[in-house]
Amino acid sequence: MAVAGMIVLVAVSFVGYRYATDVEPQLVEARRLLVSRTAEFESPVPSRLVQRAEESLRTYLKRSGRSQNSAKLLLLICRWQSGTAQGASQELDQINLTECLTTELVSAAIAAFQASDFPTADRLITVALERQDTDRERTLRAAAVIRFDIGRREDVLAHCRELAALAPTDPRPWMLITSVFEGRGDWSSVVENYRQVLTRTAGEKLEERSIMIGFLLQSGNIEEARREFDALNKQAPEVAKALPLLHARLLFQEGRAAQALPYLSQALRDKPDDHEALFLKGRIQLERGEFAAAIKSLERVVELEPLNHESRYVLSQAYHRAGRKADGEKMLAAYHNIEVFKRRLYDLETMANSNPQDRQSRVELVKMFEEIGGQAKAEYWRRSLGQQGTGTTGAQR
Amino acid sequence: MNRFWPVMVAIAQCLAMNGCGPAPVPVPAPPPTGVSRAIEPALPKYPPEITELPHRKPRLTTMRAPTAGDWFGSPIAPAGVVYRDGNEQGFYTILESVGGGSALFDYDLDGDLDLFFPQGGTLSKPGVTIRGLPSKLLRNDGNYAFTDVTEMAGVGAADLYTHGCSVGDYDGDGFPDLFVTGYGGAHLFRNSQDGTFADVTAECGLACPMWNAGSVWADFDRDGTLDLFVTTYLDWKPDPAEICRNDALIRDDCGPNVYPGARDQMWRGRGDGTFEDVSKRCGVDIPGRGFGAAAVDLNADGWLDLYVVNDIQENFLFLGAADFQFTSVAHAWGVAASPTGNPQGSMGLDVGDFDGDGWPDLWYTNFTEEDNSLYRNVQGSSFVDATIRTQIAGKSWKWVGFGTVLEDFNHDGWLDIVIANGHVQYHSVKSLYFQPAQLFENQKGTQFREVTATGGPYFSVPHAGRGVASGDINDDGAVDLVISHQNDPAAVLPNQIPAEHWLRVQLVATKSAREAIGARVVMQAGDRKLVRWIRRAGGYLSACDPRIVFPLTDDKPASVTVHWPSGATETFTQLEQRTTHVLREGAGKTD
Repeated sequence: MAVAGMIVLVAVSFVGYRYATDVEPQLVEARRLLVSRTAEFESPVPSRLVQRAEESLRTYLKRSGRSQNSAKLLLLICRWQSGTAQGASQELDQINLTECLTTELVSAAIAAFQASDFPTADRLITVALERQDTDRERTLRAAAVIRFDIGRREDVLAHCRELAALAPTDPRPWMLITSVFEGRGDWSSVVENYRQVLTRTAGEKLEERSIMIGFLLQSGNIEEARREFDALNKQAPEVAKALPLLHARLLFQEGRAAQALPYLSQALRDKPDDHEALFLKGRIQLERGEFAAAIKSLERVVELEPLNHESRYVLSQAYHRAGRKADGEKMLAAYHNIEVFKRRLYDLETMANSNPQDRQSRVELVKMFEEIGGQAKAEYWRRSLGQQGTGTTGAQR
Repeated sequence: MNRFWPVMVAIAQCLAMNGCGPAPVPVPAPPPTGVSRAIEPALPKYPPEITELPHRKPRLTTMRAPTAGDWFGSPIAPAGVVYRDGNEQGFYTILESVGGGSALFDYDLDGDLDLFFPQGGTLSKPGVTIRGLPSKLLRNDGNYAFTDVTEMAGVGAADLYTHGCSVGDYDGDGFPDLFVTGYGGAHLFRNSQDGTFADVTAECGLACPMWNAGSVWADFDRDGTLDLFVTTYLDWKPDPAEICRNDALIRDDCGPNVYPGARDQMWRGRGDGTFEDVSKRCGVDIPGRGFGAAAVDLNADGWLDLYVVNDIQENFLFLGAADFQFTSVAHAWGVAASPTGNPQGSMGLDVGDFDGDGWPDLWYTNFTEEDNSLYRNVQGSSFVDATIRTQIAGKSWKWVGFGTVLEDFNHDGWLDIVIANGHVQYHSVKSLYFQPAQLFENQKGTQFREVTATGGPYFSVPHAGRGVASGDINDDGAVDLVISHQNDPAAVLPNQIPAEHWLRVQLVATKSAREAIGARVVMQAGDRKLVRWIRRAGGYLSACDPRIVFPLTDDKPASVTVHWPSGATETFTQLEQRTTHVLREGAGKTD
């Protein structure tokens, strides 16, 4: 603790010295306009302010001030903000980033991220992460968001854990950790981390509690889900009543399928094409031997969610049990194709996540998502692909 | 079906304030079980290796005191019986994770069940050198006392790293023979009728060079000779340079998902003491990662069917027919995977009529974060999930299920469930290596109520559980348990719920293979029909008591109807209580 305190003290003194000695008004003005406004992931700085900052910086650079590297980096922020930052990464090579303030690096990383220059954003935040100074919390916050969006999930976990230690009452790092585990389908970790969110959320947290009930069901913790649902129902019956699908899921998991049906009907009245409600209804109908009804529900799910392998599997059972063998086999074949496809996707994502240097998996992921029209996801992995060879990760330090 | 994903995206955006770019991708498939083999990056980002294995760490081993209401008394540890997996060398191989089972069989025909235990092996350098340890055969001396007769009996071969065992009288001489599986081989020990065994593997033509795990004897082609089905686990060879990591990226033993499966084998008994490999002809040689297998007539067509559970991949259901013509129907019948089509990490398996409708249902254990699976037989036409309806769902989510049996432990005529749990990963941060066993009481076929707390002292501490075998070791009409563990002594759990009225039957077939494996036995108990099947294999790599105990509601003699594998049906009447009746095919009344 004493060592950490010393580090912080030295860092604070250093930053203070830099500000105190760097009195050039143009640079101060540019920092005020750019850095303070990109402190978080806010809206872009208004163009007139960017123009003003740019003019100040160009004046400063002509006068050969001491903080040339800072000024050049701030100028790049202007260009990212105004959408004219082609070739920015080459220009960045000319800047000695160790001479720049951490706050400038973080702002530049955010600006690059907002301009969709993800490799540069990651490069800048990597340099910022190497420092332990007063801007640490902001650096980690930016790093977590940037790396979440480029698929470096182990790094996100490391950043969020460090952030949680620095800001122990903030629920947001725990939300992001939960999100990482949810993406992995690791439900016990989802529950464990979402508990941290709940303890850090003020007020009645009714929405958060209903989310938690869903997580508890996913993690097989049915008894606790029942306790939580009953408590929610007691405290805010109108909220519980507005969650018919959640209630149906709970009843189904409790082995009370017949009681779940009215709640499913309610959910489907509100949202006739709720694929999850239809799927659950189809499963219950199949279990009750109502094959025609089950087929109708499940066929609708397949229409709504063509890449959902689970509905195809259950529909194939329904066809078989209804005596429609050929349809059953056909649906089973479709299930298999999707299941194999998704399994490959999962394996690739696992490999890509466990190794930021794994280019081959990322290339294949982009291709596979493009094949099925998943453009956003293809773009996600393309961005991640752009991070290859950008240096060490925050988690490694 | 990830309905909370949008919420989490909102969270990410919340953190990002006005976050840019599309939302991150949810993982599209459920996580595979086991440990992934991570590609080692050049960068040293992984946490340091934990050198201390779970067995060397302090842990809870002091069991609570027994109480009068316990189902099972204090466990008895037969001297010198410890399954060794060789983990102490720190190779972290997947071989260490499989464990072993046990067999309950009366090898000397003195009327009581003796115990056999494969004992695993050791791993050492150079490279990863695999060696076997001698198995153990214990003679039952009564009152849960045993004598080690391994050496005298000649079943202590140490040339095989062993896992499972099964019992079948393959030569029909009335003396049960023993089949032992292991990594890279198997042994068939013929009972020489004098308390000794002879290794006849080679002369019988049984060539099993793969990694053999489960095995089941049955007369599949109804020619009067036992056939043998052997599950193989993986196509794996040790590699000392291989490093695997768990979810927390800590070095851990390797999981099955990174190795290809291997083809199971079906051996037809020729009737002359030799076997022929008919795997390909009968269509069961699909690459799988097989553990448990059960042979029972699931659709009542008179031919034994075969259900095989696989680790991290779909299970197999083969419907039997004449001349080994099996048809694969696991998908169509709804038992290939979870109820929503997700393959599971399945280990232990048993078959029984849990709901009293007279049809054999399927029950198997799965990996952590998966429910164990109970499938109800819909009158021989298909199966429907009963895990949720019977309220088993969620009860074992935290644990890795291995050995399990469906048995009536409390003599109410309804099949209860016991599960031996234990992780395969040493350093998992989510689920402990040592895990509690679980006991579930059948509530008249509608639900299972967890009664682990009253299971007895054994259930009060965690174990690294693997094989489970059930049988009435002290012949008191109450089914006892034998549970094997990783690197800890095996445990015999004496059932202490007194059985007042009961009878036991042992079948001797004359028109099909002698032990009548797969025979359907029915007893009318008041207004209920109790239906059981002769199913020697069970519990995970184990062999259970071949006899069937029926609870009775009063002290009168009872009748039993046997549906023999040959197709004949006979009724045996006036069976006295509290004794074992040997029912010979042809000696009963035909309808």
